[in-house]
Amino acid sequence: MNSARLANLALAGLTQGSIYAIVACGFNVSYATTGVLNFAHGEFLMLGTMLGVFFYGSLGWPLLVPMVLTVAICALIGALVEIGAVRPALRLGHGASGWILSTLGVAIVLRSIVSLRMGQDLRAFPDILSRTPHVIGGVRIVPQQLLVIALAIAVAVGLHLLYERTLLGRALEAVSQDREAAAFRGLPIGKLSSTAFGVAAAVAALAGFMAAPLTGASPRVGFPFVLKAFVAAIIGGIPRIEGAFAGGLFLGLVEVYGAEYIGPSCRNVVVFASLLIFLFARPQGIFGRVSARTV
Amino acid sequence: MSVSVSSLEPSTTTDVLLRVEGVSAGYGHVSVVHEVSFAIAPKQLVTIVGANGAGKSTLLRTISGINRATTGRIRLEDVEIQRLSSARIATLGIAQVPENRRVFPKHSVLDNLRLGGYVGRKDKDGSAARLEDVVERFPVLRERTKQSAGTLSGGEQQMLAIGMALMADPKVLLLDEPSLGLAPLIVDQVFEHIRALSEQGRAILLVEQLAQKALALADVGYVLQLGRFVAQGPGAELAKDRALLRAYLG
Ligand SMILES: Nc1ncnc2c1ncn2[C@@H]1O[C@H](COP(=O)(O)OP(=O)(O)OP(=O)(O)O)[C@@H](O)[C@H]1O
Ligand SMILES: [Mg+2]
Repeated sequence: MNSARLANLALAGLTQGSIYAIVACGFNVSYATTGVLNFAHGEFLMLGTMLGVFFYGSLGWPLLVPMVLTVAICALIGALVEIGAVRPALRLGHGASGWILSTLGVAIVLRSIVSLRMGQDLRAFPDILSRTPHVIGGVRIVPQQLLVIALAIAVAVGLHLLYERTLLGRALEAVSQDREAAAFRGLPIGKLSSTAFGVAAAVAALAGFMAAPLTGASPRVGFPFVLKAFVAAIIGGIPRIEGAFAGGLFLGLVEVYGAEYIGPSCRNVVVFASLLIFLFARPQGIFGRVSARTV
Repeated sequence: MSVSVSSLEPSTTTDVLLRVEGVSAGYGHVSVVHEVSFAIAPKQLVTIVGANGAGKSTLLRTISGINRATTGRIRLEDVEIQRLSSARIATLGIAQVPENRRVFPKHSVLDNLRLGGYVGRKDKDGSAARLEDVVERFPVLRERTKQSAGTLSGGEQQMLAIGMALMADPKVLLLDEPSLGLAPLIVDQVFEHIRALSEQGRAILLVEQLAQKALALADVGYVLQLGRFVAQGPGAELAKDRALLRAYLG
C-alpha cells in the first residue's frame, strides 16, 4: 500500500474524527458543569443537519443565515432541555436514574418531532465547500473535508479560550470543581448550567450543519455519532476539551484504518475494542488525571 | 450612623440591616435550628458561638439561601430573602466565607477573587477598586495572584476566602469558623483582619467555636446550643463569663 493511499485514509479518518471531536467537546461542556451525561446531545447534531437542510437546502438562504439560525435555535433548545428535563430530575434526587431517563426521553421526542415533520429519509445536503477532490501528488484533498477538520480545531480552540480567558468560563469551571462553593459565592448555578447546555448544543449543531454535506441529513444521524463521541470523550479523559479533541481524532483514524486493514465490517469493532483497551490500560483517558472523577 | 455597644436588639426597623425572626432549619425531617431570632445593625459585629453540631453553619447557610428556612423570616433591609435563591441573596448584599474556606483549588488566586466578585462583575471600575483593596489588605495574595489556590497554606486560603467575599462588597459579611484548622498565630492574624473590617464599618456576623476571642471582638454575642440561643449579651461581657462558656462550650 502506497503512501498516497495512507494519506487519503488519514484525511478521511481525521474528517470523521473531527465530527466526533466536536460532538465530544460539547458533551464535556455540559457534563463538566452539571455532572449529567446528556443522552439527547446527539440530537443536536441531528437538528443541525435537519434544520440546515430546511433553511439552507429548501429555502436556499445564503450560508451564513441558516448556519447562525440553526445554531441559535439549537442553543435555545439545549438551554430549555437543562431547565425542563435536567434540573427537575436533579432536584428530585434519585441519583442518576432521573436524568438518564429524562434526557433519553428528550432524545426520543426530538427525533420523533423531526421524523413526523420531515420524514425519516436520508436527505442530501447542498454543498458548503466543494466535494470534488484536488489530487495533489496522488492525495485526494477534498475542500469540504478540510472545512470540517478546520472547524474542529476552531471549536476546540474557541472552547479553550472560553474556559481560560473569560469570567463565564471560569465560573463554569468553578461550578464543576465545587458546586456548593460556587453557590456560596452567589454564582447563578441554574443559569450557568443552562448556558453550558446551550453551548454544548450549539457546538453539536454546528458540527451537524457543517459536516452534513458528507453525512447527509436524517432524523437518525445523531445516535451513532453521539455514541462514538462518547467513546472519544472517555478515551480523551472526561471532561477535558483537549481530551475530547484528541480522542475524537484518534477514534476517527482508528476507525478508518481499522476498516481498511481489518475489514469494513470491523469498523465498529475496532472503535469499541480501543475503548476497552483504554478502560483497561488508562481509565482516566489521555489527558485525565488519576484523581479526576470517573464516569 | 452609630450604634451603642450595649444595644442588644436594634430597636427600630430603620437601624436594622439584617433581621432573623423565628427561623428554623434542618436536613430532611430533622430540625437543627429552632426558631432563632436576632438582628444586626449597620456596622455591628455580631458573634454566635456554640459547640460542634450546635447548628451554627446551618444557620449561616440558611441566611445565604443555601439551605431553606422551614419557618420564620429573614430580612435584609426591607427585603424578605428567605425564599430567594442564593445567587439573588448574594446580589442583594450578603456574602459568606464558608466553613473550610472552600476556595476553588484549581483556579488561580486572581480567578478566585474575580469569581468572588461575580455578582458585581458589570461594575468594572468598582471591581478593579475592590481588587486593589483586597490585595492591599492581604499582601500575601498580591504576591501569589497567578498561583493556584489549592497550593496556598491554610491561613492564606482563609485570607483568600475573605478576599473573595469582600470582592462582592457585601452589606453583611458572614464568616463561618474562620479559625478552623489554623495555628494560633495565624488565627490572631485572621481575627485582626476581622477587627479591621469591622472598624471600617462593615457589618459582620461571625460564627466561631473559639468563643473567647470571637466574643471579645463582638458588639453583641450569642451562645447557641442544640439550635437555640441560651445566652446573649454584649460581646465583651460574654467573653469574660468563664462559667457560661465552660458550661456550653466545654
Ligand atoms: N448535610 C447534612 N445532612 C444531615 N445533617 C446535617 C448536615 N449538615 C449538618 N447536619 C447536622 O446538623 C447539625 C448541626 O450541624 P452544623 O454544621 O450546623 O453545626 P455547627 O454548629 O456548624 O458545628 P461545627 O462547629 O462542627 O461546624 C449536626 O447535628 C449535623 O450532624
Ligand atoms: Mg459549622
